Amino acid sequence: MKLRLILPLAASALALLAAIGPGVTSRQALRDVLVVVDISRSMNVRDMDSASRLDAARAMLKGWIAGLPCGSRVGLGFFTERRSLTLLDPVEICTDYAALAGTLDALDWRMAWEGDSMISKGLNHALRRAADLHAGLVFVTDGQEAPPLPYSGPDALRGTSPGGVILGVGGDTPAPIPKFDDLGREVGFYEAGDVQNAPARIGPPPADAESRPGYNPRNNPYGESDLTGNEHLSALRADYLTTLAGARGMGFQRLTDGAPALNAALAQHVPARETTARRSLAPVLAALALILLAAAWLAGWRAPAPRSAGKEIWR
Amino acid sequence: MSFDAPLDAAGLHLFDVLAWRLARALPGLRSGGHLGRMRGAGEIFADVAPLLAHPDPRRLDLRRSISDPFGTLSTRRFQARTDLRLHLLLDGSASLAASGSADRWGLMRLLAAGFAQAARRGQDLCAASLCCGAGIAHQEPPSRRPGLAQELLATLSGLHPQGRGIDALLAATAELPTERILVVLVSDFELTPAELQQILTALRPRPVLPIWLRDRALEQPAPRFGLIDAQDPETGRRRTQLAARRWAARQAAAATAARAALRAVFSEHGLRPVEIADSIEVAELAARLDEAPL
Amino acid sequence: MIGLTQPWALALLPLAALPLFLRWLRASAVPRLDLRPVDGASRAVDHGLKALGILGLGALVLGLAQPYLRGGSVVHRGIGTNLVLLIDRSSSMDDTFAGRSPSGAEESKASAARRILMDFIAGRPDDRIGIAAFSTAPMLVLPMTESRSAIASAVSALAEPGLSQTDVGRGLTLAMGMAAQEAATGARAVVLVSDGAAVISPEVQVMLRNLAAQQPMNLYWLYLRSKGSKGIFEQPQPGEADTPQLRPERHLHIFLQSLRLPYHAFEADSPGAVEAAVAEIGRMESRPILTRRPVPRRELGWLCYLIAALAAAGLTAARALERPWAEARVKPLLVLP
Repeated sequence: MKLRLILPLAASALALLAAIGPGVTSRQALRDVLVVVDISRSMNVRDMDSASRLDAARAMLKGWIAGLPCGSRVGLGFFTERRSLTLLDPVEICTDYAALAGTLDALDWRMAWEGDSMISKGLNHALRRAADLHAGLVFVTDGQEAPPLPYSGPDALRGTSPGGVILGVGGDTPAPIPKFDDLGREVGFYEAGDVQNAPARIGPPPADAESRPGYNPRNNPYGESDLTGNEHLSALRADYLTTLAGARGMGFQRLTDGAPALNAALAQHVPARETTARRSLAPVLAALALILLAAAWLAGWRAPAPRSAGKEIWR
Repeated sequence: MSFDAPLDAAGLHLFDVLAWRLARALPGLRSGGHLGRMRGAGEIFADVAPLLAHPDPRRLDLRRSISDPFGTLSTRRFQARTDLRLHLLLDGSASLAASGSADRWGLMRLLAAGFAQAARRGQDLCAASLCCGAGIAHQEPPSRRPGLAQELLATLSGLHPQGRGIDALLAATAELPTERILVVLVSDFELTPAELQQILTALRPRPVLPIWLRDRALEQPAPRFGLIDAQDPETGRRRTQLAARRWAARQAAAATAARAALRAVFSEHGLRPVEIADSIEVAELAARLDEAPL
Repeated sequence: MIGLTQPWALALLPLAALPLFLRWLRASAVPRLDLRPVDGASRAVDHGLKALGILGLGALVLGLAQPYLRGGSVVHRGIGTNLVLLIDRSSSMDDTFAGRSPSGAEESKASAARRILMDFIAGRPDDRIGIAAFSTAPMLVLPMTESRSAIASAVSALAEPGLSQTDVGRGLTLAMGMAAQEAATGARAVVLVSDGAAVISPEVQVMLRNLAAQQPMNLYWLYLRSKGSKGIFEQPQPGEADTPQLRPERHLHIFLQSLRLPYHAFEADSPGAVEAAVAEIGRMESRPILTRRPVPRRELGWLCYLIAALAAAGLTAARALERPWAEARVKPLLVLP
C-alpha cells in the first residue's frame, strides 16, 4: 500500500486507540496527614513579611495541600493549652479541598479555650491523635512554650509515634506579641510583666538554684529566678523544635522552606500508603497520531503550482 | 503503423504531402508555388492583352490576332506563380501541459516541424512564433533554410508550455504582414469565445489555418467514482471534484457546448478549424488542409 | 465550564492551519478550470476535506491539552435546609446520660449525638450543612458545605474527647452568624446540641438579639439531659431560687424564646429520645431548597481523540478514492493508416 494512504490510516488507528484510552498501572505512594496548627497568642506575631505567623501558615498550607496528589488525605486540627483538637478527620483533598481551605481560613486565635501554649504536651497529644487516625502529623508551631517548661524539661511521648514533621514558623529575631482585649480588639503588645518568665515552681528545682538570689532550702528552693526575662518577645525556637522532633521520629522544617521541602521531609518520616494509579497512554498515542497526520499533510506539499510543467502532474 | 516519440528528422518526411492553396491570388514577384496576382509565365491561362501592353511575342494568340477585325495583335497572359510566407503561430500557454490521452505539446512540436518541412517542399518561407501566455518564448524569422524543420523541433523540445492568456498571441499577430502570408494558428483553444474572437479579429485579413489540438480524455473524463483534485495549470487554482457518472456526463456536455461555441466563432470569420484529436493522421490532415477555406 | 490540564499543548494549534495552505489530494492538471461546470457536491467535498483536516489536527491538539468538563456543582432543587449544627464540646458530653463514664453498652452523650447526627445527615442529601463547636471558646469546624464527605469527617472528628467548659452564648453567636451569612436561598436553621448551658452575658445577649432581628432562622435546642439535672421546662417550686446562675438551662430556654424566632426545644434523656427529637427536627426542616449538587469532573480527551480518529479515517477514505481527471494513457502522436 502506498505511504500516502498508510500515514492517515495509522493516525486514525492511533487516535481511535487513544480514545479508547489504554493505560498502564503504576504504584503511587500517598500519605495521609493530620495538620495541627498552633493558634496560641505567639502565632499572632507579625514577623512573616509583615503577615502574622498564623496567616503565613494558612497561606502556605493551602498551597501545599493544593499541590498534593489526588488521593492524599489531610485532616485538620489546632493546638492550644496542652492538647490538640481535631476539626476534620483526614479527607480526600481533591474532593474536599474547599472544605479544608474554608476550615483553615476559619482558624483563629479566638478559638483557643486557654491562653497557655505547652508545645511539648500538645505535640504528644497530637501525635497520639494522628496515630489513632493512622496519619502522619504536620505540627505547625513557633515553639514558644508559655509558660516556660519546668526545670525537668519536656515530657517524653508515651506510645509510638506515627512520624511527621514539625513545621517551624516565625522569624529568628524576637518580636513583640500583640495583645487583644475581651472583644478581640488589638490593644498593643505584651510587656515583660504580663507574662510568666520562668518555669512554674513545680517539680525539682534547677541545679543552680543555690546560686540564685533569695535561695532558701526550705522556703524558697527555686531562688528568685523569674524576676526578669523576655518571654514577652517571641522568635522561632528552631533548636528546641529540632530536639523535640528528633526525639519523636519527626523531621523539622521551616515554613519558609516551602512545600517541596515539606514533602521531602514527609517522605522521609511518614510511611506511605501504596496505591496503584493508572496512567493513561492516550497522550502518547495522540501525539504520535498528530505527528503522522501532520506528516501526511506536509507530504502533500510541493513547489507551488506546476505552471511550467511540460510533464504531467499526475504520477 | 504508428509513429511515436522520440521525434526525429526521419519522420518529418511524412509531412511532405501537406500542401496549401489560397483562394485568392497573391501579389509578389518571387516565384513560388502559389498563384500570383502578377501576370507572367505560367501554366494557368489568365487573359489576353494587346501586344503593345504586354510585349511577349512568344505567347502571341494567333487565333485571336487573326480574327480580330482591327488587326490588333494579342498575346496570352498567364498567372505568375509566387511564393508566400507560412507563419506558424503556436499557442504554448500552460494549459497545453495538461494531458490525458494526448501529448498536445508533443503534437504541437511535431506539427510545427512538419509544416516547416512542408513549407520547404512548397518553396514557401516559413516563420514561427511560440507564444506563452504574456510573452513570446521563441521567434523564428522567415527563412527557407533546409534544416529548419529539424532545428525547430530541437528548439521547441527545450521549451515548456507556460503562462496564461492571449497577450503574446495578439502581440505576435500585430507584427505579422498582411500580404502573402498564411497564418497557421496551432492551439488547444482552451479559450472563451470572446478571447477567440479577439484573436481572429486581430489576424484579419490574413488567411488563417486554425489547427485545434484536442484531448479526448480531458474532454470526457471517465465516469469512475472518486475524488479529483483538479488544478488549472495556468492559474494554479485547485478545486476538488466529486467524480461520478452524472458528473462525467455533465463535464462532457459542457466541453461539447464549449467547442460548439468556439466553432461558431470560427465560422463567423469564415474559418473551419482542422481538429486533431489525440493523434495526427497525416493523410487525414492533408485532406482537411485541402478542404480548408483559405 | 471546560478546563485544560495541559494548556501548553495548545501551542501546537497552528498545526491545524496546515489544511488551509496544503492540499490533501494529488493535483490533476485540467485546463481552464474556470470554464468548467461547478457542482455543489464537489464544492462541499472541497470544503469538507479542508474541514476534516482542520478538525483532525485541531482535535488531536485539543485532546493533548486534556480538556475536562469542570466538576463543581449544578443547582438542584431539593428538600432540605441551610443547617448549622452547634455542638457542645465540653467534657461533660463524654459522660453517659446517667452521668457516668461510658462503659460497656452505655454510650456517651457525645457518641450518641455523633451517631444519630451521622444518620440524620446521611438521610438528608440536600442540606447544606455547617458545623460549629463551642466550649470555653466558639470554634468554626466546617463552613457551610454540600460535601457529604467533609461533613462526615467533621462529625467523626467529634469522637475526640471534649474540652473544659461551656460558653453557649458565643457559640450561638458564631452559629447564627454562619447561618445568617449564608447567601443561598432556602430556609436556615441552627441546631444547638448541648448537655448544659451557661449564663449568657448581657453583651452577647445583645449580639444574639441583633442577629435574630437581621435574619430569620429556625432555632432548635436539643438538650441532652443527664440524670439528676433539672429539665428546661420544669417550673421552679415556689420559694426555690430561680436565677440564671442556678438554673442556666431554664433561663437559656427563656432567652431563646424571647428572640422571636421559630424556636423548638427538645429534652432528651436517652439515645432513643435523641433519635426521636432529631427525626422531629428533620420533619420540620423539610422545605424546598435550591442547593448545589456536586458534579464530578469529566475528561473530554477521549471525545477529541474519537473526533480526530473519524476525521483521519475520512481523510484516508478520500485518499483511497482519489483519481486523476483523465487516466494518463497518451496515444501516439502520429497514426498512419
